This record gives sequence, structure tokens and C-alpha cells, in this order.
Amino acid sequence: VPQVNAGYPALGGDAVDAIVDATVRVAAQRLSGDLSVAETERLRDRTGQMLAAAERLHAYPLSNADEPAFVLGLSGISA
Amino acid sequence: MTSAPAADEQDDLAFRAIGELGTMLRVREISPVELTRYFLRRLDEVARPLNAVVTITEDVALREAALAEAELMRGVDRGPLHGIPYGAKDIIAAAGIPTTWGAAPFAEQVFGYDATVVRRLRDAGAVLAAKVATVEIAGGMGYNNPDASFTGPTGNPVNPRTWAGGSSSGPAAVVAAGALPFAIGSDTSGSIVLPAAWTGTAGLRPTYGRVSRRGAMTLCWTLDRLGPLCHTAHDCGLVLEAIAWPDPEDPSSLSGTYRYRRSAPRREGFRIGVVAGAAEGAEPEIAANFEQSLGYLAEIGTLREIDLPDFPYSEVQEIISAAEAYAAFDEFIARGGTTGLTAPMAKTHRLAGALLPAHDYIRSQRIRRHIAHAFDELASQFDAIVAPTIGTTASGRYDDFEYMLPGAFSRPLNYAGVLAGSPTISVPNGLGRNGLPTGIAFAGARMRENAILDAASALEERGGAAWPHTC
Repeated sequence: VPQVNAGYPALGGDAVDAIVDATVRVAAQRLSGDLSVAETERLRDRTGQMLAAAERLHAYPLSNADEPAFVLGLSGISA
Repeated sequence: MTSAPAADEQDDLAFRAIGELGTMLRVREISPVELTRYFLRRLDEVARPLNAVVTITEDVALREAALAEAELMRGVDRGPLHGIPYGAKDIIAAAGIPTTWGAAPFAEQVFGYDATVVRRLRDAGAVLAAKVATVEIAGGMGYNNPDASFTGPTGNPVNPRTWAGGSSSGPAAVVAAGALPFAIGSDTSGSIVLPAAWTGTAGLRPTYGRVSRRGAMTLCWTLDRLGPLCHTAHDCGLVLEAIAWPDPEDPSSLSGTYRYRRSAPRREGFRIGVVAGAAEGAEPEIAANFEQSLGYLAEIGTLREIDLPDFPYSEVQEIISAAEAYAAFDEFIARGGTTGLTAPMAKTHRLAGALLPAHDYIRSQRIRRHIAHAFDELASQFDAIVAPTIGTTASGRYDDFEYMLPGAFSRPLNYAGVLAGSPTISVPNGLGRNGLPTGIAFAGARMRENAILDAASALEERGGAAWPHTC
């Protein structure tokens, strides 16, 4: 299980736990309870991995002026 | 038109390049209708058993072929694709024909209009012969099994016990099987170039925005691209010219037109960037083939070893995919639609992104702008940057797999091109383990398809590329 609780810069570990728990609850609801224990754990892991990837993005420095890429219909592919 | 030779006398047609077939049509050695009937038979007898075909569009094909025949007979020539049959990945709409997205929940889906790419190909005189297989929802709901498609696992024509790759399984397989001269695939994070490498075909992921995606299933708005899979890089150029047009109905569409055909394509004087350590961790035969091709390339240009800019490529790709794929299918996911998919992991895979913070997606796109700028600046110094397309040969047709096999992507050239929106072509690069194809990727700066097509063609002509024909 990835360690996502150790210092998610933007939200912190409590928030990450909350996102993971809420995601599992949403999934159980959307799948009408048809979620096995193993599937629940895989979803928990997968959500944790994704948030861990998001956490690693915070190691890359950005300035306030850095804009997102690929604004469809506005700037096409301009980088 | 002359009568077609008996089918068993025509088998050498199966693997002919578009230009060769076009010459045969124009000297009336064979007619468009005869050629179409020949490939319809190949689709049924060779491609269908591989699970490469969803729908053979026989009525449409024969109607379009008859039109092409009549036009060519009276001297109307729409260009190199006139009278040439092709297949479209089954995420691409064709009016009145099922467009299943490879997924059981959409098996009855029929659109009332043609995708722009289908319309463009019709304008070029090409003949739609089949909707071909795809991993369900272009792999967008997650999968780790080749049978993640309601049409079953697509066999690799080179060795049907192995998989054709994904998600453009059908486009790669029908071309590799000699069941069609070309096909249109889609690529969000490698779905054209990776099947091309595994099947010994040429697959081009064009510059983002080159080819209209109107009428093609959306997986990720800022990543999705359509492109050709063919026998050669040259054929990819011919097809791209036919389909790369501005389209006001696709907001990502570029405004400029693209021209491939020129009087004298380059065959020497290339500047080639070689990704440092590109073959590290790859299967030994793949590394050896790559080294051999570097030798060929050194004879027709200069090589310089480079490092790719240091970015969190896979993380950026993962977050963008998670957010956009969820958004594109939010209602389907929210109503539990993923339970109807074949891949076990698809049931919950995208739900993981249901509550992804928006600022993480935005952060990814902000970093991506730096990636796009840095990669384009680097790629602009070369005609092409090369690396093995993938460090492994085709996996088993019935085996679960893990894309991130050790050595599969030792350096992130694929993701760099995916995120930068720049073009990449994979062409065959000899055989590897168990006689399976290997590929070499040529990645270029945005809008510079011709540079990578010329370099790849030059390598093909030098003999660095092998093109396996087994069916």
C-alpha cells in the first residue's frame, strides 16, 4: 500500500485519508454495494497510488504565473 | 478493368504498400472492386479468427469501391488512397454501422453520422472495409488482460499465441495480417505506437490537433489523437495527408493543412538524437536491433546522445488521464456501467479518480506546459529522437500483463511525446525473442511529421527494418 499519508503538501494526510475513504464509499454506492472486500482494497490502493502520484508533482517547482497547457478551443496546442 | 487473378494467385497483394496497389489500380491490373473483394476475403478468413474484426462493412465497401472504379475509369483520380480499402478502429463512427467502442455495454451503439476522419478518407477515395477491434473503451477504464474487449483478445498475426497489443489491437492486427493495407487507430498514451511495434507495422501518432477527432470516442480531450497504421512509414505519410485537415467541429483541430508528398523526400543528412540508455533493461534482441539501426542511421546522418528533460512524466500522464477519463465517462461510471466491462480491474479503476482534487489536475497541466516547451525545444534540434518503441516483445494472448514491465520503458520517450503533443512513428526494427517483431520509435518536434517520416523511411530502405509477413 503506498504511503500517501506522509506529507501531502496541499491537503495533508488527514485529507488524503478522507479522500480515500470517501472514494470507497462513493464506489460502493455507485456499484450498488456490489464491491467485494478484495475490490474495495484494490480501489483503496489505486486511489492511494493516484494521490501519491499527485503528491510527487508537488516536488516540481511552479510559479504563480505558470499556466496550464492545452486549453482546448482557446490556444490549441500552444505551449 | 482486367479480371482478377484467382485468389490463391493474389496472396502477394496482401502485404503490398499503398503506392504499389495504387499503381496496379491505375494500370488496370486489378480493379477497386476486385481489390476490395480480395481484402474482404482476407478480413473474413485471416483477420476474423484473430478477433481483429468487429464488423466487416461489405455493403459500404463494395459501394465505395464501385464508385472508385467508375471514377478511375473516367479519369477522375482522388490521389494515392483512391480505391484502397481500409479499416477504422471501432471507436470511430461510421453512419449506420455499429460503433461499439469494443465494449459490451455499447455493442448496439449506432451513430447517424460519419466521423470526420471517415469523411476525409471517403473524399480521398478510400474504401471503408471494416470496423476493427479495440480494447474496450480504448483501454480507458483500465485493463491488464488482452481479452478486455467484447470481441475477445486480438491475436498477433506474427504469432497468434501472442497479443497484438492495445488499445489499437485491430488496426495493428489487420495490417500485420495483410487483411487491409492500412487502418486508422487512436492513441491517448501509446495505443498506436505500441501495437505497431508488437505486430511489425508502422504506426504514426501525429501532432496533437492534426487529425480531427469529431466522431471518435473521447477518452481524454487533451491527449487523444487519431493516426494511421500501415506497412511503411511512407504509407503513413500518404494517409496522414488525406486525414489531416482543419475541422471547426473539433476544438483541438489545427488551422493549417499538412502536405506529405514532395518531389524529393530526404534520405540523408539526418540529425538524430539518441536517448541515452534507451535500450537499458530491454530484451537483449531489442537492444541489439536498436544498436544495429543506430549503425544504419549513422551512415545517413549524425547521431548525438541526449538526455530527456527531467520531468515527472508518468505522474503527469496519470493524473491527466484519471481526471479526463473520469469526466468523459462520469455518467457511465456513476451508474455502475463499468460492471458490464470485461476487464476485472475496469470495475473500479476509474472510480479512483472520482474525488481527485481539481488543483492536482491543473497542476499536472501546468507542469505539462513546461514538458511541452522543453521537449519541443530539444526535438527541434533534430530530425528525430530515437529509442526502442518498447523494451519487450509481445506478451501472451491469454496472459495478464503489466505494461510497466522492467525495461518496457527505460526512458520516457513515449510519455514525453504523449504530453508534448508531438509526433512519433514506430517502424519495424527486426525480430526479437521467439521471432516476434521489435520496433524503433522516431519522435519529432510538433508539426514536423515529415522529418520523422523521412528518417524512418530512410531506415526502412537501408534494411534496418524487418517487416514480418506470416499470414
